Formats: sequence, C-alpha cells, structure tokens
Amino acid sequence: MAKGIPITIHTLRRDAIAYLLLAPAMIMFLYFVFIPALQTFQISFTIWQGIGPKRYVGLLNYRNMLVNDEVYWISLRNNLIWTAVSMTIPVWIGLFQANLIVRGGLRQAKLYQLVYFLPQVISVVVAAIIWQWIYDPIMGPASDIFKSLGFERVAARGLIGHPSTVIYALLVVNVWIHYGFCCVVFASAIQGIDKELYEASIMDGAGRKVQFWNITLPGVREAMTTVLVLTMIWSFKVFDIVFAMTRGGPGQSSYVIALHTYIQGFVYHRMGIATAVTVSLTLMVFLMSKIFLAVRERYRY
Amino acid sequence: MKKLFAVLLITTVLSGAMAGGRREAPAPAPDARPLAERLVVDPDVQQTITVMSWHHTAVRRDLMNQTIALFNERYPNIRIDHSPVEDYTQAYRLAFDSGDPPDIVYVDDTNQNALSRFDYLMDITEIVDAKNWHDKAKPGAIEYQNRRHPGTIYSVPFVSAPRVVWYNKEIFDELGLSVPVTFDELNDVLARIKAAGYTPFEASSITLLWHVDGMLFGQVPIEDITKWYYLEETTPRMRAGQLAALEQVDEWLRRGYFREGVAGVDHNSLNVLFGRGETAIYVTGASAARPLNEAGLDVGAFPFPKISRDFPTTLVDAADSSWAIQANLPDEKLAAAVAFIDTFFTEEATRIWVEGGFVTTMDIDVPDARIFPQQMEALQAAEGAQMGYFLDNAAPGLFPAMRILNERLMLGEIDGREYLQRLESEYETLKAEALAAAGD
Repeated sequence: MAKGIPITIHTLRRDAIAYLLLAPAMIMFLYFVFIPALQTFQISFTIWQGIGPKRYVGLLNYRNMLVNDEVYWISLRNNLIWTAVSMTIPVWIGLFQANLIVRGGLRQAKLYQLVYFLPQVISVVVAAIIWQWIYDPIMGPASDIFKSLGFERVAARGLIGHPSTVIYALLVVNVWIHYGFCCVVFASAIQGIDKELYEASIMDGAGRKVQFWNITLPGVREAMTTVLVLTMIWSFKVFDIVFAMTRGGPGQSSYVIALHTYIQGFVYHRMGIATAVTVSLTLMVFLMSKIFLAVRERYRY
Repeated sequence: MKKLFAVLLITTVLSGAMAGGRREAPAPAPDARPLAERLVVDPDVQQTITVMSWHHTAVRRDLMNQTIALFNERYPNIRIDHSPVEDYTQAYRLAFDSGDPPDIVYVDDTNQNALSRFDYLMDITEIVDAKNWHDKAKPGAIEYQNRRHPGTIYSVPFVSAPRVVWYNKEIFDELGLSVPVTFDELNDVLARIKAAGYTPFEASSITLLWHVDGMLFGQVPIEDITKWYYLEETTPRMRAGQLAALEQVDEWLRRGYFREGVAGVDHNSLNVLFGRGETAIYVTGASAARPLNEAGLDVGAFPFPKISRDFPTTLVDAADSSWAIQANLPDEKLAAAVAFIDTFFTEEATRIWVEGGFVTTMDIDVPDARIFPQQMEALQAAEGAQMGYFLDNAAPGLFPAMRILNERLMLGEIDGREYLQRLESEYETLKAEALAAAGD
C-alpha cells in the first residue's frame, strides 16, 4: 500500500488477500518474537527466580547493573575488544584472500574458497573442543610451540588458563572461524566488479596494489558494510565460543555480555538482572548499528 | 487509522497469548482408598512413567537402563520413559514451571528445596513409612536429604557421593611416605612430595571446594556448620574456621603445591591428569575409582585429615541426588511411580549400582558384588565416617560464586581474607534471595 493512503473498508477489502497471506508470519512474529521481547522488558523491572511470583522493583536491576555489577563492565570491555578485533583482523584476512583467489589467477580457486570456508561450517562446539585440545597446557601442541620459543610459563599455564591471555586466545578461534565467511562474501563481491575497470587500469599502467586500493576496495564497499554490520552484531552477541571453551574463566576474565546474561539468568536464576543485561545488549547493538550506518552513509560518496 | 489497526491487532494477539497461559485442570476427587491399597500396581493396565534425572553420562545411563530392565522384569506393563539431562537445574525448572513435569525427578538438596517451596513435589512421608524404606536405607540417609523441612519427606536417596583423598601409591612408596591422619602429618607429606620434585595436589577450581570443606569439618563443630549450611547464621567459630581453611589453601598455592596454571585446568580432565602419575594427591569423589582403575594407576584412598583430633571423621558427602514424585501425579499412576522407586531399595538394584562404582545409601548387603581394588580403597576410606555437607549447596548460586572465587584465589588475584569477605557478601545476597523466594 502506498504511503499516505488511509486504511478504509474499501482498501481493506481490496488488500484482504495480501493481509491474509501476511497474517501467519505476522502472528508468528508477534507470538514468538514481539511478545517475548515485551515480556523480557517487563521482567527486567522485577525480581524473579524463574519460578514463583515476580516482584516489581522499578529500575533497581538497571541501577545494580550499572553501579554495583563489576562483572557487567568486565563483560562490556571484553565485548568491545572482541568487536574491535573481529571487525578488523578476519575482515582484512578475508578481503586479502578473496582478492588473491579472484584476482590472483589461482588455479583451483573454488577449492581454496571452499577450504577457507570450512571452519565456518564446523559447529562452534566442535571447534571449541579442537582448540581446547590445541591450547591444553599439558597435552596440546600450542604448549610445545611456546616451550620451544622459551615461553615456559605461558606454556605451563596455557593460553586460556590466565586472565591476561584468555580473551585473545578465544579471539584467535573466532578469527579462525570467521575469516572464511568474510572471504566468501568478498570473493563474490569482487567477481561482480566490472572487469573493464581492471583492463582500463592496466592500460593506464596501474599495478596490482593500485588496482586493489582504487578499484577493488571501492567495489566491495557494499559488501564491506554488510560484513562489518553483521560482524558487529555477532560480536556483541558472542556466547558459544566463550561458553564452550572457558565458561567465562579463569575467574571472570573472559566474561562477555551474553554469557553474563546466561549465568545470571540460568545459573543464579536472577531473571530480572539477566533481562536487564539483555535489554542493555539490545540497545547497544541497535545504537552501534545505527551509528555505524550513519557514519557509513555520511562518507558514502 | 493505520496505527489503530496495528494496536488492535497487537492487543488481540496479546490477550490471546495471555489467556493462552497454563490452565489448571480441575483437581480430581482424592482417592479414598487406604494407602497400602493405592500402592498396588494393577498388572493389567499399561502405563508410562516419565522420569527425569541427571544420569546422563554413559556409565549412569547404562546403570539406569539395567535398573529399568530389572523393574520391567516384575512390571512388564509399565514403560519407564527416562530423560537424562545435563543442565538439570534449568531442565527441572522449565518442566515444572511450564506445567509439564516428569512423574519422577532426581533432585539434589538445592533443587529439592527450590521445587518443594512451590509445592511442585509430593509429600511422600506416608509412602516412605508404608514401603518400609527407612528400614532398608542406612540410618539417617533419608532424613539427611530432607533436613531443610523437618517432619516432611520429599525424596529418597539410593547412592551417596563421599569425597575421599586419593593418593598415588608409587609416589608414596618411592618417598617412603605413610598415609597422613592428622593435618600436621598432611602438611609434612605435602612438603616432602614438593621437595622431591612432584606436584602434591591434582585439582581444579571445583575440587578446591572439597579441600576447604574437608578442613572445615576437621576443625569447626558440625552444629556451627549446619547453621551456616541452612542459612541460619555464620557463627564466630564458623567464620574463624573458614578463614583458617582459606588461608591454608592460599599458602599451599603460594608454595606451589598445585599444578602451574591450576585455575585453567579443565575439571573433566582431572582423572586423566591424575592418571598420568605425575601428581601425588587428588581430593575427589569415591566414584573416581572406576576411571582410576581404567587408567591402571595404583592408588589408595584416605579420609581428609582432621585439624583437631577431637572431631569425628566427617567426609564431604551427601546423597548423589534423590528420587522425588511430582505433586500432581494422577492417582492412577502413583502405584507405578512408587514401585519404580522401590526397585532401588532391592538387593539386585543395589548390586547394579555398587558394581557400577557407586557408594550406596542402602542398608542392604551385597557381599558377592564384584568390585575393583580402587573401589575397595574408597569404601574403606569412607567406612565409619559421618556425612558432611557440600557447603556450596547451601543456597542456589553459591557453587558458581565459590568456583569463581577459587579461580581468583588460584590466580593470586585475591588472598584468603579477601576471599572470605567476598564469600560472605555472596552468601548474604544469596541467602536473602533464597529466603525471599521462600516467602520468609
């Protein structure tokens, strides 16, 4: 229906079939997404242990979260580190590899693409078990590598066994899983760039480096936006890798917001605090996405 | 108009959703027959009894299947639908709160307390008497699991989970060490193990809880510990004992009595790590007998040494968990549900679980049960000891809080004194939440 045309009996009758066809999806959305979201918001103003009656406490959960909950701030810091790393390293690795695959004239390019994408296909839990074994201070190969390089203490305590290294060790796993996705998206975007642009640049004497910065990079801008926005959202929501590998430990050094929500909600059964953290996470993702897209729009041309 | 339409649609769906919540079926008239009559299973009626438990590991599933097969030999008309779950606290809460609970549930002390508070569990006091379960269980075992609500029995255990101190006999023999009985002897043994170049303790942030609990049982009167456990008060003796125990663990950590990087040790790999024979002592459950047997390690076991000789030997111990029946079980299913639980009070079932590596709470002799040497060591270590508490079960949420504090202590981020301050703060918060939830 065009914007500005009021809904009348006439238009309703005319569009009845359209509304009918939309109804199942709309009802599903309302029932399974919208209503639970409203309930989540409502629970965030209560003290509730998951069973029994709820007690309304106003903004107490939000106040406690922001003022008294040091783990919330540890989690937020880790999420920001996670987002910063995830929006750079795997994205650039993916772009570099995609460029190499599509523009490098590699034989069996599709095969490389498939191989790079494999970590993305593997279940995160399986990947976590593989990397837990790699990082194991007693039986894992990472420990042997550190020992041979002379880092005896790092080898002995393991990369995920110490607060100063754990979040970066987890990020290595995330990069390993995620760069294949970036590679595939960029490879597809690069294939869509008009080949004549490259041919013309060759006639002008441009080398591969110049072609990359002046043709490839501007050509994948839209794909880059998609990858960065998705990566940012995934980074704020990250849970599986951390839960499967460290459960937030050692201590609380690898807590992230989603894990904090889980622990508060399903371990401590503090549903009010858990939902308050969830609401804050939703707002953060929404705001960051908006800001990113606004900045992106501003520097579009 | 458009907005009005949207609001109307949302309101309609919302009201439907709210109204579509759980509806209570009208309660059937109570069965007026005597209890003994109500507990007789009708062999001509086909029934299914749903059971939810955390017997999810391969060994536990196998033992449950054997027990179910044993039950079906006598009651072929009753199908037992067993759902083993790992994250059982959450699974139980969801099942009960959604109005679709299992007929029988395997609850630990914390979950029993949480579920019984909301009348989700059946008071089975009369059933326990009618089936003579008191006479078949070890004295005090059923009462111990039900101490939070004196006079009312909600569940019955069948196996317990005593924590013993395993030691590597080869290392002890090599260094000429004898099993320590007192705490001073333990410290002497630890120093000599360390001096010989071995790591004294194999541990994780979970098993460290049992080091602390073990020290408390050896120096704080059980009355004081009981008051703390049941959220009544922290007596000065309890506080002093906690501080002493935590400072002792802190000192052990600083002396390097634990593996480097102990804070990051995966609890699930402890049996494998100890099985490598590089560490001398390992505080864990008697049920580790089976994996240690499979590792081929020559081990012995002893109870955690006491700080004060005056105290009775008390092990960190409790029912592994305990069978409870859901409160609204239809009367026609009661006999079958009770018959299933009753199966665990038989000699055959006791043999199954004892041979599976567990310590039974049954007062039933199975002298011909096949048990391996490591299991015999654990049974001898637990012999005559009284049951202590898993202190991290005092309130929901205390276990993860203490685990995190253990990791921070292991990392040197906090010392014993700061640990205690933080523990007291967590304890008070969780106590307030638990009491508020109970409506006190």
